[in-house]
Amino acid sequence: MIGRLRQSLSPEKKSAAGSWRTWKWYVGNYAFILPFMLLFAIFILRPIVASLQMSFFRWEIFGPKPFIGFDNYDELLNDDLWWVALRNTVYFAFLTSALLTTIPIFIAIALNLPFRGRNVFRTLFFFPYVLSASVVGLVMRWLLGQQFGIVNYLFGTVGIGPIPFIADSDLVIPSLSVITLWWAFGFPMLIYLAGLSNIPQDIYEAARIDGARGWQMTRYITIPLLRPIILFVAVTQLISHFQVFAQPYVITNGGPAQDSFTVIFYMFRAAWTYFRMGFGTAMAVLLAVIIMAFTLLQFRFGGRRLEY
Amino acid sequence: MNKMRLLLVIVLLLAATIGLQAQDDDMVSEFGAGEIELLFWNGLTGPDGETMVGLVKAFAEANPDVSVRMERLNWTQQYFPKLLAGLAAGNPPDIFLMHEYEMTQFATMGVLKDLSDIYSNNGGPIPIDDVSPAIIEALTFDGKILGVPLDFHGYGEWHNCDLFDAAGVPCDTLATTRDEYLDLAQRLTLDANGNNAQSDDFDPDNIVQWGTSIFWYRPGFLTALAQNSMSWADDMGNALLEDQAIIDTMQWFQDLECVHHVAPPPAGFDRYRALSINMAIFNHGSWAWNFVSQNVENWMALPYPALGEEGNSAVWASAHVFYLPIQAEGERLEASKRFLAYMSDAGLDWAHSGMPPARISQIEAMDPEVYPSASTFGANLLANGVFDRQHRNWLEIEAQYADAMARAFESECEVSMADVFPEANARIQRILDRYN
Repeated sequence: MIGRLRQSLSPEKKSAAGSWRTWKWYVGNYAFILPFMLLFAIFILRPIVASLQMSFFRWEIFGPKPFIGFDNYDELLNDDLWWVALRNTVYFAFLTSALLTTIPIFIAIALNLPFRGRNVFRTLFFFPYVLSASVVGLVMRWLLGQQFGIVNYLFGTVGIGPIPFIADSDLVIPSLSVITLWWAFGFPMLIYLAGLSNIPQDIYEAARIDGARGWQMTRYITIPLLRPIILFVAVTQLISHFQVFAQPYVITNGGPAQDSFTVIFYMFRAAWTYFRMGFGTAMAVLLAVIIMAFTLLQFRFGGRRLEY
Repeated sequence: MNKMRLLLVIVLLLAATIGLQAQDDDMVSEFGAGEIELLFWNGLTGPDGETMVGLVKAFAEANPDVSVRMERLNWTQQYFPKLLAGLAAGNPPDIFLMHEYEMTQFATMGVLKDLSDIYSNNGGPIPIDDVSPAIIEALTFDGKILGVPLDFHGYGEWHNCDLFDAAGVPCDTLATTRDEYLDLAQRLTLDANGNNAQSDDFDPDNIVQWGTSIFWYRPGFLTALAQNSMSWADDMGNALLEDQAIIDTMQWFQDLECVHHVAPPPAGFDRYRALSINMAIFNHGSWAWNFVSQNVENWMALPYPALGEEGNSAVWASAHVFYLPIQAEGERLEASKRFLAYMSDAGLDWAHSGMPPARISQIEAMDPEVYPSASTFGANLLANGVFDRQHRNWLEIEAQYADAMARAFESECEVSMADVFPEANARIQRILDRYN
């Protein structure tokens, strides 16, 4: 039918029909992504633009809202508390991302082996991920408390401690990282399990015939073929942990002193305790820029020679 | 079978999780079945909250046309964000509780209802002459009284009489100067060999009984400032934390731990509460009544000693205050005012929580047998209580001096007050300048 139509049309008409078909093709495809784009525009893009705009105003929710240019950014860059918060955030984000990018690989490899009860272990390892931050915080405060904590009690039975896991300046960030490792472990593990199931078995069989054994196959086959997945996990973990809030908020309240005071914690405090929305959003914008910069660096250095 | 086991594990874990999350449900209470429904928010998450539950229940029984839903939220972490969001969205609670020092911030925003007409000088039911003039002054903004005080609480000393006995010191001993206080704390601090901190054989690494304590920094700090006629700022908008006298005053407190070894290092609320049963002098407020009475067998509440200028017994005071949102109107406003008047009259019932009441006649009527701590603290606060300076960004300012002290006190003696106060001063000055 279309062929006959084309034959009967002049070149101009043929061109017009082509444009119409192309346009219809585009409309059809855009219609499919329209629901997402609408939701994205309303719930993501609009708040981003509003935040950026808000950061140029002194806005305290009620009362006047004067435009102050870059004053919020100027104040932030001269605010020593911002630098304390940023230092703590970077430390936490890198430490936690490193733990959550590497350790789940080996657990996923172990849980990918055929053994009885494998699914039980997969469920147990994933379970903490479904807990809310407040539950994790309460549990960890009970576990790691210096006087009444179960961990210190157990250490005490063998003559160790008590160790001030969440009350010591040097230990608090590593402690929060380990807590986060336990809590968020399930997601990267699941991603790695999905990645492992996509590695063709015949590669392992060929390696086995060539004499490769356990660790060699992990080192030279599994990890190289997981590299795109590792990059994905590393990027998403770093982005996620740069935005750390719940753990210091619930477990340490930013202490001891300000040693677990993080950027989002400061942003929350500025906006919702000091009612300084403009200053708070300036922090959010700066943090977004910093996260973007680190993400680009990860792609720049981690994305080379990826084997898909 | 394996699937059954897996299911069982999941169910148990989920039950544990739900159990933890259900704890929050205890913080919501509903009373009465009246048609006028009031929502009341407060931050009384400790044992004092249980006393408030009893008061609200009694109000609902006495006012059958009203029902009250009370929600308790953590002061520092949940209460203000939720309150601010409610006020901004035009959907605030009908009644909310804050302290007097937070009022100016909200008053500046114009979100608080003028409650002047609830006082007797404007024809209302609460006798204004029966409320401490210092509280009324603290609650007055632009000539309007914006709140109704629930209590008049503040700082004081709790003595553990068994530990005083162990040191051979009478339990009612109260220092009247800094030197006397240090001498007392040294005599009360004992090591495992029974030597006190004045002995040449005293072992500071093996202390079993502490003489005194540095606990919640703000009340101690504000009391120290008041007893030396100082403040963190002057009326001209200048921050004053760089003042050497203020630094020296606070350094003296840090030295109790770092130089004299008579106070344990502050390290978090839980740890300090645990240690408090080994502290002869537990510096805390009237709100510690439940904790002390449940954990210490023989105790005594005393006024905070004068450790500053000679004869200056000033002590930090505060008040829990009821406020109404600016939107309140109609029958809910009328019912809310009834609630406030009821609570003001019920000060002696509230005093069972350890908090001295706000009304002068109620403070004077307290029987020391029934209110052993509230009567002592109440009388002292009425005579010597000093409220903190107010500012439209008080919460931000308080965070600066509180964080500075936390950095010093929690540094294991590596950071001094001289290291932290200039920085805090600069931050406070920036805040003050923002509004000048």
